[in-house]
Amino acid sequence: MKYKGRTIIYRLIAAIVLLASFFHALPAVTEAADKPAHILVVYPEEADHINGDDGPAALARVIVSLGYECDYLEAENAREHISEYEQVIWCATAESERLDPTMLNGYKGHLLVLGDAYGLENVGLYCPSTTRKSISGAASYSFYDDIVFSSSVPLLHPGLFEDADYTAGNLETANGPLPLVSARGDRRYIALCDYTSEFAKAVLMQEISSWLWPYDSKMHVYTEYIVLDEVYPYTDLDRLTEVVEYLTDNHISFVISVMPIYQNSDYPAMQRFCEILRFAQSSDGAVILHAPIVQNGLDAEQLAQQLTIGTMSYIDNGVYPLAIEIPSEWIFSKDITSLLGRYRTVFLADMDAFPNHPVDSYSCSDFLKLGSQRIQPALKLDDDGISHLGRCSTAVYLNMAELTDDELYSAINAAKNAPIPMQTLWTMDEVVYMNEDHYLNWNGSTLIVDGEQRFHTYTPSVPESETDHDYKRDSYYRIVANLSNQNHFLIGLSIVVLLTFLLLIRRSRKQMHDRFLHKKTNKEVKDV
Amino acid sequence: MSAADVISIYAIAAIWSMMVLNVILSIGGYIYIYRCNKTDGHIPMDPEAYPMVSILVPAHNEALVLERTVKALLNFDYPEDKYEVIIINDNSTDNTVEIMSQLASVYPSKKLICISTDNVVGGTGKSNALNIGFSVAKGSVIAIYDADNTPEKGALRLLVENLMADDKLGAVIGKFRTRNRNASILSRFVNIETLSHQCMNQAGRFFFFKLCTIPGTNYVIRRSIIEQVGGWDVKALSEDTEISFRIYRMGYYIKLLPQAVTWEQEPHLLPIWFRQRVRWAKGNVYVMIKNFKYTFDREAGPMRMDTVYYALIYSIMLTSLVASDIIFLGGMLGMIHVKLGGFSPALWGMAILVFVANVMLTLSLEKNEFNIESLGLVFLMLFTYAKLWVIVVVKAIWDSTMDAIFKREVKWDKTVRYVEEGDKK
Repeated sequence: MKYKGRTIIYRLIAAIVLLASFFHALPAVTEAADKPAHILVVYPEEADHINGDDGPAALARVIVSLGYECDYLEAENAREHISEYEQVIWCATAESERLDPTMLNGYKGHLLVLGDAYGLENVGLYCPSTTRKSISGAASYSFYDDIVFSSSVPLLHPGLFEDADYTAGNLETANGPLPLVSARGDRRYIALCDYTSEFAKAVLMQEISSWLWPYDSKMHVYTEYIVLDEVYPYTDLDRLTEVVEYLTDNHISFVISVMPIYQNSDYPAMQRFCEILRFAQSSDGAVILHAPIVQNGLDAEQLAQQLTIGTMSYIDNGVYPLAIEIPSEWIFSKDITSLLGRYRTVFLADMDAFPNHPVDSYSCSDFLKLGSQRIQPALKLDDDGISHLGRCSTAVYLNMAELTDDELYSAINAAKNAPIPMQTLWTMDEVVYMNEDHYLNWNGSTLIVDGEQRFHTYTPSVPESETDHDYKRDSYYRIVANLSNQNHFLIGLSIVVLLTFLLLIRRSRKQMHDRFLHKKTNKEVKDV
Repeated sequence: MSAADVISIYAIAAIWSMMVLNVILSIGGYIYIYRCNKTDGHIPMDPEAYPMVSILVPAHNEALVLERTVKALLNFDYPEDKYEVIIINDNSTDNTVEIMSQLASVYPSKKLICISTDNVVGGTGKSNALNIGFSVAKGSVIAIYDADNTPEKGALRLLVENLMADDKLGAVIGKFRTRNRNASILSRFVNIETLSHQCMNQAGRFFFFKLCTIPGTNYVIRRSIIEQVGGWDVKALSEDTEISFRIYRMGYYIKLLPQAVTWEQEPHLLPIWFRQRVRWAKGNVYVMIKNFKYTFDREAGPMRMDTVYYALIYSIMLTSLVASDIIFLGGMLGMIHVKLGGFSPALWGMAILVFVANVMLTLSLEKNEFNIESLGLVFLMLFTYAKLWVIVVVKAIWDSTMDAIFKREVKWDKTVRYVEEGDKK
């Protein structure tokens, strides 16, 4: 009996070890397949000083959007390191300075050449023109279906792979038509040398994703989010209700980015606002917290405190912000990075707001290593401001305060009809860690707040009326309220006083005139 | 709500309340002076009925300005045999005695008396000098002039006629103007301040409450009153304000007569001005503390208005201005952040305009004062001269507190005179 028992135990242990080794090995395999590319961007020295929208900085922002790790080196510094990288982007965008094509001799990895193709026969590129100068051309590209987008683009000696196995887009130049993109194997060429326009960014995003896609299958299509941006409790609640009802009636997933509230979260106005938010989050909507407006420099500790108070003011009203929206620039602040790591999903707003970062810093962002889901602002390819690329998760930010009803519903409908899927945040795992006392965890089915289960179902309630609410105002608050109301009254009173004074002054001057000047005149007449 | 917000509310409420009060007083004062300007101020009397008047002039080292003053006093159009001029040469170390002797020889028919005191009897301040002068005065009406005054010829007659016309009047005060207004920008500010905040304010208080504060010069008072109150309070640095309150309590009124004008020399240098104003403020604080108890005494009559008024000026007004200045400076330095909403910058602009219009209203009732130059000066003084008032009062309160703690004797700080351009010639 003992023998049999030991055998069973040994077999069980062996089975557990085998299973454990299997599960341990599984992530390793997956990790190897999903290992993000580490790219070397080689750029001309002159471009280093640009750091503007038309230099490598603009390219860097596209690469950041796609989530790839990059190193950026000027041509001379890159010479010895090119062979160390499996992916190289040859960024030949400066007209006055040429990159030395011999640097690429013998390079076997993935190569993406941007802009100037002249002299790159060694990598298989061919240039129809013999004069190296800036020209312009009409570029066209189809991002999805048969819809073609066109744009006039600057060019610098465009070329192509002669025996290309892949081409995309078209380029009309004075020297004749060319493909905008051509590729042979792991080597790809894009004729764009200016990345300022939304069109150029979209092409780069599409082609870099495709260039680095390791599988034969179709590329993964990322989701798009409609975000009602910067919504305050004092917004037009009737309008907000109409928009939310329109979205839910049409089963359109959406996100409401609410501004943080630090005090008076029990006021009737806040209750009514949260009533709408609770309704929204019970159906196709989700709520995220918009970052506080920072005016006097970022202070991580203060920001953490603000975010905690701001989030809890909504949670106390049954609204559960699942993520955060921040200005994109924050991802380069080392102080803020650890704070952002407390969120599973981070919405980035205004990607063009950080044009002055040295290009090297784009690879330094620790934020990229956090693994948080980043949601980029959608590129504005069409009039509705929607790109429909699907190369990364994107957000279509709609600010109700700035848009008319027509503009708002037009953008919503365009997003709805786009081929990119829309998804609610409730289908994903979300974590919001505020501090050791307050956290929110949504695992796709259960919502836990501070260790207690909560529900995001909607039960209608009757918000307290403003007159019934006990505002708990002390005498100072009452004085403030009274003083605020007195502003116009006091200005009016001042105007009345001023007019009265002016009338009195006029009268007294007449009296003085009669007393002195008039007498003098009479005397003068008498003298005469 | 932060502390800065609370202080802001206090400052806003206090400043606007004081401004409204000032506007009301100005309108009352305007009406009163406007009416006065329609007459010459005289109330005809039987020539024989003019009472004997003793003019008291305390003088401590005032030789530089005294000659002009005495000449003006001796040239009053008041019946020559009905007034005497008593100069109290209060422990002077200059040549006041010689000047008096010369003037006595020039005006042999006039009653000019010079009493000299030493450092034992005199030299302790204006109140003491007045009490000494009063002890030899023969008049049933006492007139007081400072040693730097040049009263207009008819001033005394106007004051006496008005005093004798109404038994309820304890004293009648005239208006004083700045003789040396063009000496410096400071004296220009003082000239505007004298007209607006002293004369107009007095007129407003008299219009509404029959209250005026004796200004220390160019006034007449019944001898019987001084005898009843036991003379001037030697502890008071502003003996004029102090005796005003005692006159109120006796049930008398004090009347302002703007036609009775005296011209006086005002400080033209900041240190001199500062010492004079600190002395005034200390004196007023003393009077306020001494009389504040009557605020709650129903039998005190209209004087309660003045005790409240002084309390408002030296407590509410002072603290609110200090608070607003601190918040303003703190805000500029980024150290204080007021989150209080509701008040627009336009309102502050209106407050400034009301202040300026208020002053210009006063100047409009004066000859040769209402002009663009004055307008510019008023704007300038709002941000410069008016701010000095806060420093003056804070210094006065500090000194008064130290005097009380260390039981220091109150010292009379004499205003330093100078020879004006006209006198040099």
